[in-house]
Amino acid sequence: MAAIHVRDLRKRFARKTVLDGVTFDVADGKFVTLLGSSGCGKTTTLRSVAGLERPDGGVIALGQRVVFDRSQDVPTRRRDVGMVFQSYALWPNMTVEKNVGYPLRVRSLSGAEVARRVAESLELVGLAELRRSYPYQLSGGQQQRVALARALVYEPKVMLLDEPLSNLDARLRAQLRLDIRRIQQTAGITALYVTHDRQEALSMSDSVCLMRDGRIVRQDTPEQMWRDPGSSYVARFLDAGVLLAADVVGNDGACAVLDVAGQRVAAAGAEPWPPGTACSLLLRNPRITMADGAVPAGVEVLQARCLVSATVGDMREAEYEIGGTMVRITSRIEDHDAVPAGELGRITFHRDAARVLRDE
Amino acid sequence: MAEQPRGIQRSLHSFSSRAAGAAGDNRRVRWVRSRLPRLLLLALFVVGIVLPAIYLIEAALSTNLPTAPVNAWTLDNLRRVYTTRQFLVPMRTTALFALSCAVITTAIGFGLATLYRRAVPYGAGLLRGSLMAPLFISPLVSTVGWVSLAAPNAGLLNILLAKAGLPTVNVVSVPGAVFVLCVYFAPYAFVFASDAIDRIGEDVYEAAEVVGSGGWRTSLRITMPLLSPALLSSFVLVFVLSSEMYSVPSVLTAPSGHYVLSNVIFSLTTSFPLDYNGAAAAGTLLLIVATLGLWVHMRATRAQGRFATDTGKAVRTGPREAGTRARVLSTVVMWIYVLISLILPLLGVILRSVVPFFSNNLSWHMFTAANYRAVTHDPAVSQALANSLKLAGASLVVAVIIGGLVAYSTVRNAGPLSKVVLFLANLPLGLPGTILALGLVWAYIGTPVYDSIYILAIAIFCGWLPIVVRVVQTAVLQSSPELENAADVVGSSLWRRMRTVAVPQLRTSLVMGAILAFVFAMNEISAAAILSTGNTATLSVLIYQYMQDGQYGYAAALALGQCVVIAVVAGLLLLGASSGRRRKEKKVPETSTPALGRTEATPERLVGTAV
Repeated sequence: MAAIHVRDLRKRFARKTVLDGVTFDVADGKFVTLLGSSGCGKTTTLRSVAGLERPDGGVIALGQRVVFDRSQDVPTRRRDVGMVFQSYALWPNMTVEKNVGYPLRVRSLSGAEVARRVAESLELVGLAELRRSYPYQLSGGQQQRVALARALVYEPKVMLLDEPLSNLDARLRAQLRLDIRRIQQTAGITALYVTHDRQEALSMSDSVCLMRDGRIVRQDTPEQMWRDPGSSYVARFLDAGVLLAADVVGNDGACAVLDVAGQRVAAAGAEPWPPGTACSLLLRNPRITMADGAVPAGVEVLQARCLVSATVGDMREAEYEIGGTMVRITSRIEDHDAVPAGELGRITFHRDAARVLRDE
Repeated sequence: MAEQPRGIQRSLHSFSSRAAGAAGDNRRVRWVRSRLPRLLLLALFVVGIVLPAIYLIEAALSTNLPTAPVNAWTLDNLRRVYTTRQFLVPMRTTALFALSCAVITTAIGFGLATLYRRAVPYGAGLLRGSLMAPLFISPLVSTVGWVSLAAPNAGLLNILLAKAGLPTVNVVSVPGAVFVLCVYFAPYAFVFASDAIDRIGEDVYEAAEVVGSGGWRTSLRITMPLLSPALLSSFVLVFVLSSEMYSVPSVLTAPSGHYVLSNVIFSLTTSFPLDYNGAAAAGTLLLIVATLGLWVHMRATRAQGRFATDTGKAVRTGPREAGTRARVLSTVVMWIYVLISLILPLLGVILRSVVPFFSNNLSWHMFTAANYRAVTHDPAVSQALANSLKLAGASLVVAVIIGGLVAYSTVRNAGPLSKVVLFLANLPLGLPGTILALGLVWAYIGTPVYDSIYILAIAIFCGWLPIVVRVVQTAVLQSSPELENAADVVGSSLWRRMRTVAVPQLRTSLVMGAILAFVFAMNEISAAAILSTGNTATLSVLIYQYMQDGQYGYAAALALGQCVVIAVVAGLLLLGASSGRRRKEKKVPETSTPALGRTEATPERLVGTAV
């Protein structure tokens, strides 16, 4: 087991900068996710750690060993990492057992030892009875587990996972999320995981690195990142709530007073905001009501015109217009009155549950 | 996780400085080592392909052989070629000949493919194999067969037709030669057409039907435009290949006084007065035709990619439902075609090889093994057989190594070096065998290579190289690099990765490439006829010589032998490749990687991608 250290990784493909100074650490035994939309450089970063991609500059260290810097580049096969590929990359000409045993045979282990460890490893992923099958005979989820077993069987220093769940259906994904987390913790292995799926990132990781345009824009624990996204980009990517464009007009204690399309509301801001700053307002659990009248202290109100609304089971989806901008809100029926199209409704929220965010 | 303390950064820096010195060399060594195979290939191609091509131009522009004491630059050869009747008449013949072949072959190929896809015949698998089979039979062999059947007087078919009071046919004519070549090239057109038809998603037809377009209108306005790039590329390919064809015209059209350019080039290089410079100058025209043709072919292929209606979404393609009557009709038509294109010529070869001559009173007691006895006792035959087997066997091995190496290293390492290597490997496509042979004469005359079997080997290797590279390249493109990455990650060395992961993935296509190279080497005649001397004649050259001498019985016996050798070797290799393939077929997971196509590497498909 070993920590992963990445410093100032840079890479250009032709004219495009793919990695623009990526720096992060994964502590020993931790699970860190690189999260971002396609083309943000997350996979290139992961492949650089594996040695499958050669960065133009930067330093990569696994534990106490530098595997890449300006003077050296340890070949992939000597880096002692395990990797799970997006396509699983199971060798179609080998059975499950052969696939998993291959890394051990490469290491010239004895036949008995190979058999023992393959059995152990398949046990861990729950596929012991399928060891003589060929990859094409397995379902996607089973192939995924074989890939996992193969990446773990030789006890590499770190495990790298490249969108391993993206080819599975939603139900299986949810199941395997927990499985991967369990296996990682059982094995106590350091894991670096690449995904574009916020749910995967938030549910599995000890820490999430959100990447954008070849940089890490935010690294934090999932809880903290969710609670306080800090910027509209992070909030939008995490789908953290309803986002509205706003301007800061003043400060009221720990809250910033905002102008949202001509209406005044207050919301918690991490710092005092200078008046005149354009920002975004993040609403969490807003209530939509038809009722008029006074609201309790600390509750803010926005008038909004309903454009269209629909009910899906116990959820309501609706589009509202606030001073010319459109906002879509989906929430539970008990918090979301049906406002007839064309009518004004009220969006109410507690100022402490709302956040002022940097525009990005 | 918070930013790590500065300690780590400092230690990372100390790591890097500690490792600096020796590791710099390490990186340089790796740089060269990762390019070594491609650099070696580059050197090989320069000597084998680029030099002859340059020498051909030099030959066309000089007054004498390079070994001659007096030699000067001149434009006389070119002037002669492009202004005198001696060359202009054969040029016109060649153009008309190639044009007819191209039009008719494309029509046949597309007709058959349309029938095959739209009204699926019964026993489609066997039929498809039979339709592709002429590809493996040298046109020279089928010429032997057809001369036996349809020579003006003595042809067996003509004897029968005359007996029945029907008009006879004459294959020793320009139309006869066109017919033989069309049948030989038709499989190419068929592959092009069926691939293009397969690419059209069923939804395209359904959409046309929904908006109220009828069958004919759909064919005219939608199907034909979608197929037009494939039509064009098949037309151009057949045009180029038949314009450089040498063996069939010299047997079938030369007797009636119609010479094609290749005949002229050949006679200039083999009969007195020798005029290598004039031959090279005449060759420049073939060079231009081949280069232009290739260019159009590549453009058309790219255009077809743009027209691909297969968007990666699961759309039902493949055959449409057709009525029983249509299917019966299509089955009958296609078997008649197989009869004419495959069975009749082979039957002609077989029959001709067991009789001393055909006559009006053909009877069983005429059957004899005399032809076989004669050819087996001819020392030239055993020599030629040995030469052919050496060349074809070497082709088989070298195709796997060089073809595999070129395709693999260029696909896996994109970059300028790979582009150059790939370009050179494809260069022979624009160098007809005759031309390449002339260039090789120039490049190696005066060296020991000139009179040996090695000069033949170079010409033959160049001939199949582009085909083999294409076949393997397609397979490499379709196999995921992640499979090899995965082996790399778990610690497998390069050679082990090649052996355990890469080669098993490419096995089918490597075997296909090897078969194609073997068949090519056995059937090659254009270059072999110019380059071979008494000791280095190949089986094909000998068959040709027997025909020139009027020894059709011997030619037929040899031709049959050649077919048997090809069938046995190709059959054994295919058998070896398909055993175990069933379980190795991979079910590729749904991924976003389009390279992981699910197209199975069938021989026809591979041939299709090769040309």
